[in-house]
Amino acid sequence: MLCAGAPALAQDHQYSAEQIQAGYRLYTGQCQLCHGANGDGIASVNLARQQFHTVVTDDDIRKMITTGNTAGMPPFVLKPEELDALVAFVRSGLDQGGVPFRLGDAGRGKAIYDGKGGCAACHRVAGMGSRAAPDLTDVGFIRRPGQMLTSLTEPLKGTMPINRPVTIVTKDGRTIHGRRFNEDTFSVQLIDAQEKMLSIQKSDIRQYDVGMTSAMPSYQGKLDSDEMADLLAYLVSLKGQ
Amino acid sequence: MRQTLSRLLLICAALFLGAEAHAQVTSARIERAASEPQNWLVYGGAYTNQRYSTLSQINQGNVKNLEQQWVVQNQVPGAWESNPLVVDGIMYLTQRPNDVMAVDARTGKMFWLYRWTPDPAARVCCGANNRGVAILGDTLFVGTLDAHLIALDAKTGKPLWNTVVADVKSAYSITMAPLIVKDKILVGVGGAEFGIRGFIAAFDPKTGKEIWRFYTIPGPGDPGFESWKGDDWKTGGGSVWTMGSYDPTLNLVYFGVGNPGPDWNPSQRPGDNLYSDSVVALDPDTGKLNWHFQFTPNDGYDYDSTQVPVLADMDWNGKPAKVMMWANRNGFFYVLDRVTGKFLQGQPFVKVNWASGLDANGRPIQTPQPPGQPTYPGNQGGTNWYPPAYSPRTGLFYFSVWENYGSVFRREEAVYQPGRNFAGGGATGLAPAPGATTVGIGRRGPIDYWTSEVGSGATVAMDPHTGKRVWTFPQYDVADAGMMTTASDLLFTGGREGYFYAFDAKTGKLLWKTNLGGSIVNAPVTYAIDGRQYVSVISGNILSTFALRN
Repeated sequence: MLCAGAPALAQDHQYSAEQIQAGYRLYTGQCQLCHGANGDGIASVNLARQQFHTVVTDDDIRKMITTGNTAGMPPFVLKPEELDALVAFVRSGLDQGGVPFRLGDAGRGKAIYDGKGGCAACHRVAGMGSRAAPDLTDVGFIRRPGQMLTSLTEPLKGTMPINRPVTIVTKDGRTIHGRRFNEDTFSVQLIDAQEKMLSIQKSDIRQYDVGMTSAMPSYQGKLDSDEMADLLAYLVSLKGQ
Repeated sequence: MRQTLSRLLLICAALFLGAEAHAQVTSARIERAASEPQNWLVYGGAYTNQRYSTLSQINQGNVKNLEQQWVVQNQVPGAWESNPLVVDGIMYLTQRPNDVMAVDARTGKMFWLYRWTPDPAARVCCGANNRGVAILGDTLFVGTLDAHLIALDAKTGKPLWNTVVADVKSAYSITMAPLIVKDKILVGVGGAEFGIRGFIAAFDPKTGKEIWRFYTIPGPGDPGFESWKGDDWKTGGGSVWTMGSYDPTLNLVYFGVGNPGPDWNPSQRPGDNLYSDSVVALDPDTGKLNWHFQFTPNDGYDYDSTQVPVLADMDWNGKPAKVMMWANRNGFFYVLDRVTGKFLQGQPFVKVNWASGLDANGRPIQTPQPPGQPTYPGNQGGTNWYPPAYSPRTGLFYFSVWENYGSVFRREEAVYQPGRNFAGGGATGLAPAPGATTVGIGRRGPIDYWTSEVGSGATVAMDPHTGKRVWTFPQYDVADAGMMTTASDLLFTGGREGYFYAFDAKTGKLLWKTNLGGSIVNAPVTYAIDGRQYVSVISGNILSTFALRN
């Protein structure tokens, strides 16, 4: 069906903070009961991670909401701007904070990743690159676009706490620089600067510092907004397959 | 031949009657549950809910020799919050959504498994939980997610009767284990996220017929109705989803009442909103209210008072007192006189900024935070439903806490539709980075991505006289484990990280731990068979049972 009055959305995939936040409100009222607060309430559908049965495009999302399906999704009567808001909220990875973002061209983004961005000097994708910083093979699956954008522009603010650089001095005098995988009351699991996986008992540690800095440089001002949208589209496309 | 047959029949009858007499769990036996520590007859070990056992074979010297005896694997994924009962060597427990099983408490082998599939219309806010069964005579009682109460033959697992307690289409549910008091089964309903009007009801164990009902949200003409405006009471919430306590000498039962509805928008329901976030003391024969104490009037934070009331007799200011101890989700620890409901004392036990303190009557002096600013404790509270313990030997109250944990609350006008979410906004846990994973209701996996930057956990021993901590065992991740303590001054508990701990209950010294690999959320239980003491705990999807190495 063609909606003559609908605005052309082809230009790019831009999702505003207002749309995402409006989508969040609609979602909590109408979708959350079945899909859950994290978007994973329906078996093998994960809205936050863009895991769908049939949906691919933004228009597919609109169609699913308005027509429903035979598997139990009821049809909803919503205004076009409400549909846009829900699309934005789903595409944001159910980002309640509503960080606005724009997705450009993933192919151009890969060229920036490999070239101007120099990302592979620290990161790794599908077995290529360094392990010094987190492996990005499935980053588009596990992180929201808004989070990744924040990491690119304000790395300190965007760093996941588990990824903060740690320095450990053991009781037997070794100094270990690394990045954590996991931590609990008694132990910490990390990868050190020599890319060795270590599981250290806290009882063996003399000094333990979690750096509140980030080794990641900011790309604010280094990439223009089109390049940023392209790089983000590439990162979003990294789903781990 | 005929003679032989009749003799045989006689022997059979005698055997059957003998077995019957042995297994009968009378209400008198339940009332004296603490005096038969080889069994765990009621949710909290006794009506006081102290979760204190006089078993002492496992002690501070030998606890390091505990070894796993057997496990039961949960066949249904999801947080397993069941509290087992143990009766004369048989363990009765539930698994999601409403399965009941009987297992040999010595080996873990299963006798029978009863399955109930709740109506697909069932709605629960926080998972398909069930916290266990109650037993009276030879009958087990279990509440269901679609708000039925079902009686089962304890020896066969077959249903005896099935009573509809409330309407599933209006999102009523039952997740708590029922409470047996004398000749009645008491149970409450969940659903305060869906605009229910909560209640506690009593049922006849023989027939399932309802005997009385106490609405936790008073209606026109009831005392407390003045704490509501207009029709707000009709959707006032006040769920009851954790175990109550009973004092036979006072003939009073005590239940904690959940949040008002809608959860997060107090301006939509002006007034104190009784008896939400309160403890109510009821006459178990009639359901009549004797007294109440409200912890959080006009709550805007979902601070359910669905904690398990812990009863103890102790000296208070030089006089013997019957008290109730309560570490509330709102971050304050309270001691009440359980005869009258009078406030004896209360102190914050974690960082609190929604109130600056409590007045002389225990009423909070509320200090709402500006929109967008964090409120402490956060939505999941300073503690929550997981059962605490009290040791009359140490005089200490033990519970799990969430430290330095806050949420940003969002308020919205909620529109009531039967069976639909009626929350009035939302709550977001603080995240260490924008949009980063943060702590939530249940742990989402074995990796702690959020770290301790947004809150951590602890096992705490509290002196009820001072409201001050005597010892704290800090945990890196938040902790929602229940407690169990023994006459050998051991405290058993765990946390989200999957460690199962035994502490010196007096000092908090860690004496033994083992990594079971899954969150420990409900509390351990202990029992004995043929003189051997066992400790059982649920971690993730296994129930694991320990005893001293032979």
